[in-house]
Parts: sequence; C-alpha cells; structure tokens
Amino acid sequence: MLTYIVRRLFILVVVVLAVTIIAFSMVHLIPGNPAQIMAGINASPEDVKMMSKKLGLNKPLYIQYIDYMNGLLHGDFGTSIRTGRSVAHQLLTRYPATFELAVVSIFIALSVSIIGGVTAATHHNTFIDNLTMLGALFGVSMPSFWRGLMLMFLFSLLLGWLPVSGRGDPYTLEWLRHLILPSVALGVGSAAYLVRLVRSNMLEILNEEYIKTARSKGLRETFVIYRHALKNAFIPIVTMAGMQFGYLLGGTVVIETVFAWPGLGRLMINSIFARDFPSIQGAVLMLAVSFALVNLIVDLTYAFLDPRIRYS
Amino acid sequence: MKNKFSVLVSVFLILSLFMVVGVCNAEDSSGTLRIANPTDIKKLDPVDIQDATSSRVADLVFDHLATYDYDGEVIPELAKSWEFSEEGDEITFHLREGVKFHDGTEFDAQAVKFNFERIMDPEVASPSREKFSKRIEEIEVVDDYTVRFKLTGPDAAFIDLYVVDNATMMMSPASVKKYGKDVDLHPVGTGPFKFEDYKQANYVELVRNEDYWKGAPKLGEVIFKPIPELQSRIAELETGGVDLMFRVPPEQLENLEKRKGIVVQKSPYASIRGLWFNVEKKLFQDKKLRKALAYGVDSDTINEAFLKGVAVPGKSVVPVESWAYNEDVPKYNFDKEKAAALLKEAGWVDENGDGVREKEGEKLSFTIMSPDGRYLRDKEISEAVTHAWGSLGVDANTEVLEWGAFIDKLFAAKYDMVFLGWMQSTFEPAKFLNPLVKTGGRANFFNYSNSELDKLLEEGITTFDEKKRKEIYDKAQMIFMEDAEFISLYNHLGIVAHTTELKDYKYTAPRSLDLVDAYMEK
Repeated sequence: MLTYIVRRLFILVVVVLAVTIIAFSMVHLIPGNPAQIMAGINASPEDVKMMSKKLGLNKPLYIQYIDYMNGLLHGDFGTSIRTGRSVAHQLLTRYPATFELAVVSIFIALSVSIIGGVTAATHHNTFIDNLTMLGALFGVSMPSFWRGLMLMFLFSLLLGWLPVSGRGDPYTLEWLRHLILPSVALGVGSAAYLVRLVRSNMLEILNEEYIKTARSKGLRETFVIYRHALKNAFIPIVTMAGMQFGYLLGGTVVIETVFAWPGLGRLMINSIFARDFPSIQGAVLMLAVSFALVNLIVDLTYAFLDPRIRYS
Repeated sequence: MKNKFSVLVSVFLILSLFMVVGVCNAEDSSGTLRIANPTDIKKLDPVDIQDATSSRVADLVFDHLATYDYDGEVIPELAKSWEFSEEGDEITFHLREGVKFHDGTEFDAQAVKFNFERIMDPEVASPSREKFSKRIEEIEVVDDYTVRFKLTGPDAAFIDLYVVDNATMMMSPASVKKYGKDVDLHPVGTGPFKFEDYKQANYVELVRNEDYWKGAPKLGEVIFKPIPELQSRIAELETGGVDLMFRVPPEQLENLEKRKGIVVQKSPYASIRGLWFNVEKKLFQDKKLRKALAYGVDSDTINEAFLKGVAVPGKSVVPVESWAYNEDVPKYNFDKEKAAALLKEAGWVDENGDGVREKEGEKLSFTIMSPDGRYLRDKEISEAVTHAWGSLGVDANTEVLEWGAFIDKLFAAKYDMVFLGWMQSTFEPAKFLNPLVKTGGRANFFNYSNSELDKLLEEGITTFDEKKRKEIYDKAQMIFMEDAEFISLYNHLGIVAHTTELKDYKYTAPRSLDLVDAYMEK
C-alpha cells in the first residue's frame, strides 16, 4: 500500500511538471501583453516597454520558464503582474475560501443524492421515484448562475434570511451564514448528477442474489439497504463524487462571481483577463495538485469499501 | 449506518438553525458606509493606479495639491495658491501649513518634490513616467512651504493635466522609505480616511482621520466590497448589504429610480464614445467615404434604443459639458440618401448587383473592432451600425474582442475601424484633443495627422487667456470634425444609486466620492 502511495506521488510530480509546461505555453499563446493591459490605453509605448522590463517580460520565453521553475523549486511562486503581490500569498488567501466551499458543497451533494437516490431506488416506478428523477433533471438542466440568483432572490431579497454576497469574517457565525447560499447552489448541482448514479446502482444491486439472501435471513430492510446494498453501490459514486470534488476545488468561477466569494476561480478568471501569467500558473498548479490528490484518495477509498481491492 | 444518517439529519438541522439565527443578526451600520464595486482594487500606490476602484479608494486616503469642485473647476487643496511665471513655463505652489500625513510626518515642499520625482523615476516604472518627464524639467524647493516647477515649455493646462492626476496624490515619503515595494498596501496620505485593512477580493476598510485638515469626516468607516456580478450588487443595495453603488446600467435605471429607499444621482462624465477610422488603411484615406459612412449612422436612434437616460448625444471629440465644446462643428445627422450619394461620388457602386458596392474591382468591405462591455453597449452598437451600413451596400462586420486582445490590436493598429471611448476626470479640452488627435499623440491609435490642427493644439497649450483658448479649441474641433475621422456616438453619464440612509452625499463625475460631510442616518 505504502509503495503504491509513493509511486502515485511520484507520478504526481511528473503530472505537475507537465502541467507547468502546458499552462505556461497556453497562457503565452493568448494574444495580449500584460504590461500593456496593466498600463492601460493612457500609457505611452515607452512606459509599456519600461514596465515589461520591470516585470521581466522582455526576456525570451524559455528563460522566463526556467526562471519560473527555478523559483518554484525554491518555493517561490513568483509575483503577480496584476497586483504586484506574492502569488503564494494570493493562493494561500484564496484557496481556503474555495476549499471550504467545495467541502460543504460536496457534503450537501452526497447527502442529498444518497437520500434521494436510495429513496428513488427503493420506491422504483412510484410517484416518489418519478418526482426524484424530475428533480434531478431539473437540477442538471438549471445553469448554476441561475440557481445562484434564484436562491439569492428567495433567501436574501424575499425572505431576508441570508446575506447576498461576500464571505464575512472567516470561521465566525457570519461566515457560516455567507457560506450557505453558494454551497447550496453548488451542492444541488452536483447532487443532481449524483442522485441518478446512486439510483441506478442501487437498482442494480437490489436485484442481486446476496440482497435476497440478506432479506431471507430476516434482516431489517434499512440494514439490508444501507449496509448491504449501499456499500456495494458506493464505488462508482465515490469515483463520481471525487471528480465533482476536484472540479469544485478548481474554483467555480460562476458561483464565486455571483456570490462575490473570494476563491480561486475568481482569482483565475481575473488573472486570465489581465494575462497575469504567474498567477494563472500558480492557480493551475494548485488545481492540478488538488485534483491528483483527490484522485489518489478516491483510489484508496476503494480498498476501504471493497476489501477485495488491494494495492501493491 | 443508522448513526451516520442521524449525523446527516443533525447537520441539516444545524444549518437550518443558522439560517434562522441569521434573521436575528442584523448588523449595526451606523457611521459605516459600504460601497459596492464591480472589481477589487489592484494597486494603491498612486504612481501605479490605472483603474477606477483603486482610484476611488486612494482618493479618500490621499489629497492632491489641487482638486476639482463639483462642476469640474480647479480649486486649491494641499496648495493654498499657485502662480505661473510671465513666460508660463514656471509654476510656483504655496502649500498649506500644518498638514500632517497619517503617519504623523509633516506635509511640506520636500514631500511634493519627492512625489513628483518618484513618478519620473525609471526604477519605479510608473505608466505615467513619460508624460511627466516630458513636461517637468526641474522641481525646486524654495522654502518649507513653497515649491517651484520648471516646465519644458508654457502649459496653460498644467494643473488639469499633471496636478490633478492619480499619480500625483501626495504620499508620505517616510512611508515609501519604510515599506519599500510593499508601500502599495500601506498607503499613507493626508486624506479624510486612513487605510485600515484589506482582504483580497473581500473588502478594503478605511477609518476616519480624526486630524483631517478640513475637519474630521462624519463617517467612522468606509468599506469597499468587490461584487463582480451586477445582479448581486443590486440585490446587496436593495437588502441594505451595501449603501452605495457606482455604474448603474441603463436597464436597471428605471427599476432603481422607482424603488423606495433608494436614491439615484446622475452627472455627465467627461467622456466621449464613438467609431474611429484607421487612416493608415488605404480605404479610409478617402474623406468622402468617411463622411458617407458618418451620414449612415443614426446616432439618435442608437441613443434612444440602447442608452435611454444614461447618455447624451455628442457631436464633437470634446464632451458636450466642456467649456470648450463647439456647438457648430459639422454635424453628420443621419441621412441615408446623402450617404448613398457620397458613396457614389467616391466611386463606390454596386456593379454586379450582389448588394455590395465595388470600386476598381475591390469590394467595400471592412470590420469594426469592438470590446465587449468595456463601454456601455459597445458591442451592440457596433453591430447595429454594421447592420445599418449593410443597407447602403457596405459589407461591414463586427469583430468583438476581449479587452487584452483588443488593446493588443489597437496599439499595433491592426484594425480597420474601432469602437473606442476616452474618459477623463474633467472637461479640459487638451485632455481629449492632444492625446487622441495630435500627430503622434499617445492615444492616437488611428494614425491621424493634420498639421494645421497640430499647430492649433500647440497654441492652445501655450495660451493662458481663456477666451483665446476657447477660440483656438473651437477651430481645432471644426477642423477635426470636418475631416470626419471620428463618428461621435454618445457622451456617457455617470450614475450612482444609494440608500436614503446616506445623507449629505452629492455625486458629480469630477467629484464622485466627496465624503467629508456625508453620514449614515441611523
């Protein structure tokens, strides 16, 4: 198991290296000069040149890449072109906001989808099943910004229960109140995908022989469903939830924009508009590492869920 | 598993509880003004400020030597008075005494010299460096409260162009030495509010400067919140999450004006918006064609359809509200027949009946480059114009570009026509004509050149008599608009919306955030 983890971590390093090269080339392929964007249309070409020099953008691309990698190896993510501040500091202030949003959202998504999916499967072809599937279809079809705005309209404007936007002071009651709407908006979206998966897996497994055996042993129905059936239906659900979680960790630009949530997604989009190369690279790197780690955790969870799976 | 289920139920119950607790947790906002901005601040070091949000925040922390009143007239601020030498190439400022920076150090002539020289320092690499270096030759400290600027030539618009500029906000020299590169997040000025805290993408917090030289402001705190989504900004205003928002868009104007508890204030911006021809392109070197296209644009209908209540039609390259605006410039009122006749005169005729005019075997075809959302309705108006020209037998298209790509092409002059706006803090004509239309002007992206106009613009800067200046700029606008290089579309209005709790706050574009007397009613 340990060898497996070490091997996976080694692969992670290779992935990160590939990501830096791809991200670096991609951001330099987009038309637009960061010094020009920073200086605005008021600045003269001479000032733009001077600014390029100050930002180190006048060096050849491969030198810029080597400088960047050299810094990275020493723990230096570079300096943001847009704000002149350390990229590492920016990532450290933005990442927790995205992380907490992703954790709460995936928690909501899993809770809703497991309850919904299991109920739909155990009430197959009944009104409850149809209603759950209709809800899921509705959830999948609803664009996230619309979901966000509707929640805002209902809970902030109409009822006045929750704040419209922002994050509040971290880890206070105010923060929790700010967290509810964006995480519900995101979580419901993911839940809509997951609920159908839970339902179909459950349906399949409920027809298995061992479920019949369990029932014939006289076990309680909830025990049969949650212990015998759900655990066996879990592997594809965990895979999908892992993917969703990885996606949420990348910062969800739309929801972060609607709710003015100061996360990684907004940082990334603002950096792209400003061609802020160091910030884009930093954010992409962070996202790649998170995604790879989440995948590793998901793979390790398989062994826990299904004792037949062993890594060596 | 049963246990896990109970945990889930409990968490839902707790979350619901927070929702209910939220209702009882209304925030006390007395003395605190919360302002919604579409963007976060970028840099608060005056020499680097290029965006509206940073400029708004910095304006409360710093003062200038001179500033604008509500009508855009220059008035003294940290300088009590100033006078030009007889030749007009030297200006002496007499400074206010006893003014202190927020760090307790004294504001004096050395501080003025330090701040101006910092803009021109190549090491600092300010985007305003070249502009200042070309104008200021030397700065001499005469005594503690007198400072003299030797200019490279007479400049009647020196105060407007160089003194009331973002870059020349007076910053404490001691703070620059203390914080070095990080001074950007430790702005220390003499302004009515002190910088307190900043959380990236979250808020900027300013607190009252009790020792402000004009008298302490009434508000205790000002908080700027970046809220990128327009609907969210409006929802925040409607629910009292913020008290003031800038840039109200046309489609929301009526809704907000009707709403109880919300006040809307409007003021003309010193701005022009329109279409410019790239005269480097052979096609647009023909004045007749440019005029024909100008007659083919129905700017009144465009204003009515796209900009109801948020813009005024302007005919010149100088904004309508400016003292220098020339009412009599050639007007290109929409006239389809005249446009068609001019096109024909210029040799553009549809010979093969395909609906597009040709001349010497070449089709009349070009593209308008437009940003998307940078200027009010830029993309939509560009598309409407190309459509209207289509009915004249012109094959015009719109290329909509994201801002970074847009300015890349703009600076490289890789476009046919462009939708471009120009906005300044006041209506001084030299702020419009000199950069935009003078040969080699820093914003003359259109390769436009007219030696007669250049001479007039030189004269305008060196003439101190206001009446004579008006005559010069009248003539300059006449020549420029006669050349039909620019199709004027509209002058944009600045619109803010705030709650009725915010009292004694007056908005005009030149003085958009004067908060010395404003207060929040409990």
